[in-house]
Amino acid sequence: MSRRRLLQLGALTGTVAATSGALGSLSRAAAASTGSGTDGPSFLDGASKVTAERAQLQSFEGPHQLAVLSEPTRATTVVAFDVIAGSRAELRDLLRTITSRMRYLYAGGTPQFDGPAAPTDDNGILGPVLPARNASFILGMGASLFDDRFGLKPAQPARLYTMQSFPNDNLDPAQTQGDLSVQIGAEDADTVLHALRDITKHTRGAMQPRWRVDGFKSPPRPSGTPRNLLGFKDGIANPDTSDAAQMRQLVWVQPGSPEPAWTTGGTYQVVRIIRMLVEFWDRVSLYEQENMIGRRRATGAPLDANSEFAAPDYATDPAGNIIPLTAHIRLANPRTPATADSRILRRGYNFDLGVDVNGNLNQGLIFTCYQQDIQRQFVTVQTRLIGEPLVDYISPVGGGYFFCPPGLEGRSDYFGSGLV
Amino acid sequence: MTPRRGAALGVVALALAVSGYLVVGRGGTDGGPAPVVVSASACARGWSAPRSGLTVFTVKNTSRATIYEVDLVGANQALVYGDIEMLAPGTEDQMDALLPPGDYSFQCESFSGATLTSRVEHVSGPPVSGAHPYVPVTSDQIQLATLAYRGSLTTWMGRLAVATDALKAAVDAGDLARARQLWLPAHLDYSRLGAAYDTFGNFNDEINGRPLGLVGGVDNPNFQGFLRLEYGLWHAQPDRELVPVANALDSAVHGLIKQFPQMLMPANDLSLRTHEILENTLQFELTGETDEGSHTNLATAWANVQGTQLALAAIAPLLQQGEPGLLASLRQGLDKMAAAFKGFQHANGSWTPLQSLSRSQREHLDGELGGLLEQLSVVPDLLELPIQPATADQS
Ligand code: HEM
Repeated sequence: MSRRRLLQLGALTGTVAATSGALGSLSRAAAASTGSGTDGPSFLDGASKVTAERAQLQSFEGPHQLAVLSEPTRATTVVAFDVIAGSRAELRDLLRTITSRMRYLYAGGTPQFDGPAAPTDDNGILGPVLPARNASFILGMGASLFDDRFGLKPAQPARLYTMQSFPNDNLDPAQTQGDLSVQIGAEDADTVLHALRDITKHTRGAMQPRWRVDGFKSPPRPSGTPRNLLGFKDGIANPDTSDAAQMRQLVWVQPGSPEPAWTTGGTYQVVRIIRMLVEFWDRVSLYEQENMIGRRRATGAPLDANSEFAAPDYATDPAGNIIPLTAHIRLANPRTPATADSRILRRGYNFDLGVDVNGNLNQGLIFTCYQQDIQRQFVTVQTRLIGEPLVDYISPVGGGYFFCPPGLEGRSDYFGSGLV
Repeated sequence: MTPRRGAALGVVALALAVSGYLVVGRGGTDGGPAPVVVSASACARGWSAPRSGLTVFTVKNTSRATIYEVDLVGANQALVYGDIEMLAPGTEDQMDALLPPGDYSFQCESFSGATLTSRVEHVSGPPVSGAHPYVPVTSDQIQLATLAYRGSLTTWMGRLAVATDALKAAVDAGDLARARQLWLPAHLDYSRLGAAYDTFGNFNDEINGRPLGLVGGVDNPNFQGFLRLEYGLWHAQPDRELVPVANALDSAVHGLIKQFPQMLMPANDLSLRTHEILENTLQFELTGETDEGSHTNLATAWANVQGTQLALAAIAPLLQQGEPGLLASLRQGLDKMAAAFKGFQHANGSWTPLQSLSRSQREHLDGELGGLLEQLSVVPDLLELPIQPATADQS
C-alpha cells in the first residue's frame, strides 16, 4: 500500500491517524498495514491498526463494496452458495438477510435476543458481545443466478459468464462456480467462522453451501509483502487502490452500454483455487524457481533490481537475459502501454487442506482478482500465462466468476436491490 | 429460507437494526441495572427497573440453596420475558430480556417447589418491537400431549408388527426376493415411530442398530435388526444366515410392543423428538450413512417426516396457545418436506436412490430440511418443563 493512501485514510477518518501515531516512513507504514515487521510494531499493534483502517474500507454504504480494495486479512474463507429459494421474492428476502447479517457482523455489539424460549441467535464463538468492525465481506453473484429460475436473464451483468477451463486447468465441478460467492475476512480464523456460521444459519433453506476454501495470509517474513506457499512474496505489484481514476479504469463498472444500469459501481471477481505441487517445487533449484517467477525469492526484488518495490525494466532487457521472457511476472504484466488495460487487482491467500491420495500436501493459492471486464483483464492475463514454466508446479482445481454488486445506499438498502 | 416464527426473517433483522435494538444495558458493568439478588428466602428484593429495550441482568444467588428457576414475568404473570434455569448456590448468571414498557416482577422457584415473587416494577421508555415472551407450559399439559402421542405410536406399532411378521415369514420360507419387497414397508413403519436418541432403549439397537462402533462392522454378531437384514438381503447372503436375523428382529419388535406401555417417557422427550427426529434424518439419511444396500434413504427420510408430524400433532394444542404462527408454519414446512421426499417414489413403489440425485436436487433437500430444523429448534425451548427433581423421578 502506498503511503499516500494511508495519509489519505488518516485524513478521512481522523481516528486512524490518531491511534496509529507513528506511521513515519514507508517501510513502517507497510509493516503496520500487513500486521508486523522487523522494526515495526508488534503483531498485535499492527493488527489493531489494520482493523481500524479496514473499518473505513469495509463500510457498506457508498457506491462500491469497499472491502474489495482493502488489504488481504490474515484469515479468510471463500464460500460459494447455490440459491434454493423458490421465487424472486424469496431471493430478495435472501439478499436482504445476507446484507443485514453482514451489517450486524460488521457493526458488532450485543447479539439479537429471540426471547427466552429459543436457542440463542448468536453462536457464541466470539463471546457474549461481538467486537465491532472485525470482519469484512465481499458478496458476488455467479452467472447461474441469471438463468431462468428468477427471470433475471435480462439484467445479467454484461461481462459475467461461467468460468471456462484453460489449457492447464484440472477443474473439479464440485469446487467450481455457484450462484453466490461470499468472502469473509478477519484477522483471526474464529472471527471468520463466527460470521460464516451466522450467515449460513440465518439463510438456511434459501441457499446451500456449494464449496468452500479457507485461506490465510502469512505475516511478512521478515518484512514487506507476505509470502505464498512457494516461498515467494506475493501481492507486491498491483494497481494503486488509492488512485480513484485507476480504480475507475480497472476495477469499477462504469455507467453506460453494454452494462445494465444496476451494475454501475460493481466489479467482477475471479476466484481460482490453485493447487501448488509443493513437494515438486521444493525439489527445484532456487535459480530455476527465481527464473520462473522473475523475482528473487529472499527479497521479492525483480531480478534486475534490489528492492521488492522497484519496477522491473523490461525495455532495457528485450531478449530476457535478466528477467526471462517466460517469467511469470513478465508474462502476467509486460508493463507496456498496450497491456495497461489488462491489469487486475490481485488478492491472494494461501490454503492448506490436508493431504492428497498419494500423501502429498494439499496446499495452494486462493487466487482472487477484481476487474471491470473479465475477458479484457483476467482472461487476457491468464491467456498470456498459458504454458509458462510455472504451470508444471501448479494446478487450478476450482473457483468461478462472480459479479460483486455495488455498495449500499443508506440503511435500508440491500445488495442487489437494483436487481430484485 | 424458513423464518423461525413465521415472519420474514430478513425484514425482522433489518427492523431490529433500525430500532436501535443493539443498545444494551449490561448488568453490573457499563451502567446497566444493578445485580439482581435471589436466595431461598428473598426473590430480587430491591430490584430496579431498566429502561425499555434489551437488558442483560446479572442474577446472583447469594444463598446456600439452589434456585432452580428465575423468571422475569410480565404484568399478568403469565408471560415470561427472561429466564435462568438452575442457579447454584453462590453463583451468578446473565439473563437477557427484551422488555417493552410495562410492569414486571421476578419469580424465584426454589428446590422445594416454593415460588417467591418480587415487587412489581415499572419499565418505561419507548415502545419495543420483536419481544418474544412465552407462556410456560404446565406438566399437566405435557402429560396430556404425551398420552396422545403414545396413543398414536401404539397404533403404528400394530402396523409394524404385521409388517415385520410378514417379512420374517418370507425369510423363513427362503423367499428372499419377496423379503426384499417386504423389508422396506416394515422398516418405514419403524422409522415413523421416530426412535431418536435411545427412546426405545436397547430395543432400538436390536431393531435398528447400526454397525458403527462395532468391532468388525457388519460382521459383528451384535449388528442386528433391520439394517443387518438389509445388509444381508442386498449382499446376496444365504437364507440360512438370515433366518436367525429376521427372527430376532421380529421378536424384538414384539418385545418392544409388549414393553412399551411400561416404558417411561421423560417429560421433555416429546418436544425434543419433534425437533430431533429430523436432525437424525439430516445426519444419517441425507448423507446415505445408514444405507446398507437397499438405497432407500429417501423413503426413510419421508417416514421420519411423518414421525415428526405425529409428534407435532400431539403438541399442537400447546403451540396453538402461544405460537399459532409457528404451528402453522411448521405444519406447512413438514407437509412440503414430506411431499419433497415422496416425490422420489416411482409409480411402481420403488424409490430413487439418494446417490443418483443431482447436486441441485440434494442441495434442495438438504437446504430445505436444514431450514425446517431451524424452525423446529424453537419447540423444545418453548415447551420445556423445568427439571424439577420431583417430576424427573416419576416421569
Ligand atoms: C499458484 C499460482 C500463482 C503463483 C504461485 C503466483 C505467484 C506470483 C508471484 C510470486 C508474483 C510476484 C509478486 C507480485 O508482484 O505479487 C506474481 C505476480 C503476478 N501474478 Fe501471479 N501467481 C499465480 C497465479 C497467477 C494467476 C492465475 C494470475 C492471473 C491470471 C497471476 C497474475 C499475476 C500478476 C498480474 C502479477 C503481477 C505482475 C506485475 O505486475 O509485475 N498470477 N505471481
